[in-house]
Amino acid sequence: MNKASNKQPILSIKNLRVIFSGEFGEAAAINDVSFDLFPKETLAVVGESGCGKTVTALSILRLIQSPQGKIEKGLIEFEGKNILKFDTRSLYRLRGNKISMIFQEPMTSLNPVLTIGRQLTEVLIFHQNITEKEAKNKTIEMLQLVQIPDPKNCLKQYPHQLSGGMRQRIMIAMALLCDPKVLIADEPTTALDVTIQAQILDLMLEIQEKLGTAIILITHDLAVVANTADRVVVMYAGKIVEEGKVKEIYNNPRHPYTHGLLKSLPRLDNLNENNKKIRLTEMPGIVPSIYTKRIGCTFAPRCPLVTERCRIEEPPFKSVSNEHRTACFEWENIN
Amino acid sequence: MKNKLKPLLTVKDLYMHFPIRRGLFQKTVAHGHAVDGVSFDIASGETLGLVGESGCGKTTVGRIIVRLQEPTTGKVLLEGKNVFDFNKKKLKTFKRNVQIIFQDPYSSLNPRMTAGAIVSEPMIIHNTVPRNEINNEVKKLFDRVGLHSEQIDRYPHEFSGGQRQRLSIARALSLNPKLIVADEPVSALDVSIQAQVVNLLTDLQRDFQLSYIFISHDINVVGYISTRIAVMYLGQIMELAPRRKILTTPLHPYTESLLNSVPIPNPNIGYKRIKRLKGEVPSSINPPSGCPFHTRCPIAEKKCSIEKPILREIQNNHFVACHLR
Repeated sequence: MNKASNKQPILSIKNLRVIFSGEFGEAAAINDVSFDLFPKETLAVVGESGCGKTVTALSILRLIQSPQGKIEKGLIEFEGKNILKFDTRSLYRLRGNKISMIFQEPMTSLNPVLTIGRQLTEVLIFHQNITEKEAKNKTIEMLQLVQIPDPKNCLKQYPHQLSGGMRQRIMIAMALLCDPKVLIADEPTTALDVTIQAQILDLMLEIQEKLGTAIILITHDLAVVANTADRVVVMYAGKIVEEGKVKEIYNNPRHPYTHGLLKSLPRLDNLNENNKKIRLTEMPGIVPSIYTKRIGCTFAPRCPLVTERCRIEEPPFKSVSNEHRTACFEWENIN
Repeated sequence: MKNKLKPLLTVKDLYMHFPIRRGLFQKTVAHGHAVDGVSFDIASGETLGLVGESGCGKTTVGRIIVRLQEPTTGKVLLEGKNVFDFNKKKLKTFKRNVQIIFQDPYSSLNPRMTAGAIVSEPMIIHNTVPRNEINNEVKKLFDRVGLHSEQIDRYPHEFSGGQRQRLSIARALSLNPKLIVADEPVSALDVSIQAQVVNLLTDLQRDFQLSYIFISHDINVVGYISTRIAVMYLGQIMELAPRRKILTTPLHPYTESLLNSVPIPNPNIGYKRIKRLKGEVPSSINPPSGCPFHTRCPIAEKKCSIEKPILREIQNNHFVACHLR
């Protein structure tokens, strides 16, 4: 289990800062984001809308739209090389091959006018030196792996002929065709019904066991994280506020934001005997816009433990126990 | 404990079939069975949760109740009177009593009206409050739902998602309704905001003796807020029981599988990778014969594909539509 101590990270992000410029001027969507991904692990990046989790994912594949968006600072190391220094050709060789991505909306990420077969074999033919026939056979194998019934027939179909769950399976198959080292899944089950979500999550975990792919799971759903990830990174307003092993974070959160999020969830696992409703803990206020100027801790305006110091000084991201880090001055006072 | 008091609202044998038209002359080739025989009632001050996967008909039921849609057949009785027999005048009174909150707080508010105008419009149309007191009333409503009165002159785009949903709630409350149909009211909101709105709805219910029909796909939220829960599948109610019974001792195999699929935010429990539902919800255009769930049911027998089970009371106040329970 001790992945961090005896293994080299496969992907390492250091002090990443991404800015967007719009009519209100420049703003940092993510600021000083650093984390490591180790082989074969599932790392969840969790946070509410606008916290920068998707921007982080897009940066890894250099998919930030320019000129509005720009990776201003930082380092993204994959197998010892800095992705930020890659030229276009190397990027093409990287995307979908070594690192691939699944998006939230499977309908908009598949081409509606090409058959499933064409879209899948294209990936293999582009990245690997194989014939169309070999590509087709490999594709069929992959479709079997993601449990598509009747894969041969599926190759001839168009995306609109498939249901949401099936399309997401296709996306997973496409992402895994070249046996990537890293799979980035951006809200892969958010658009799906809960019974289908369960199927897709099971599938992702099964495939990870088989192929040993490292997964970055981006989600807002703390329940999904609890059931699938090994480690978790909690983001708030463009920064990482807490990082650690899932069990550790859920049992012993050391940032008031994480603590508040976990408390505000209506949950079915602690129904009490007399059927009385426990009032949900509210977090006052809203997530600040990235354009607001801030001094001190970004969570201070909503924090129940806020002190004068928090409003002036930014808390450093530091270790509180083995592999558990938080950016909070008051972490010892969370109960 | 059956509702000895007269129910506030009764829904009886509701059917909603949409014609599917094809071809040059738009011939009706089939019917989509959005709602297929739904009946329930709801008491004053109660929250009935309607839960199910997309396409199960839960939203259509909600829209029929507030008369945004006419059902193919069936009745909706408000305090014993069929709302589809109402004339114009009675309908106006009905609309005062039954209000709806929509899922999307972005598209359900008129972007060209100020927040104050949105909340006061129902009171002007229904003439419930004298003109000179409307401003005062709007302020009170803003205060009640947790908005600042300085925000009265702002437009919807100046509000955040959670605030917009508060605005929708204020609009629904402005007529002092008895029943609010809340269609996925917190689904578009972030977790930390979701708790604020859920708590607000709970408080309002206590203060105004409101009844809610709470429609959602999120079993965690429905399980939290509801008094009773109706689980829907392909246009039918599969199980209807008090909240605790549904959550702890479900009797219908669909409810059981649904609950097993819900991830629990607790890493110590672990994802139960058992009793997963195979396959997907069949199309409502040609729903399966017999029990609509038999194609995915882990315990289905021959009978299930032939005969449609009716919703019957198996235990006190616990209704299940399954041959095998």
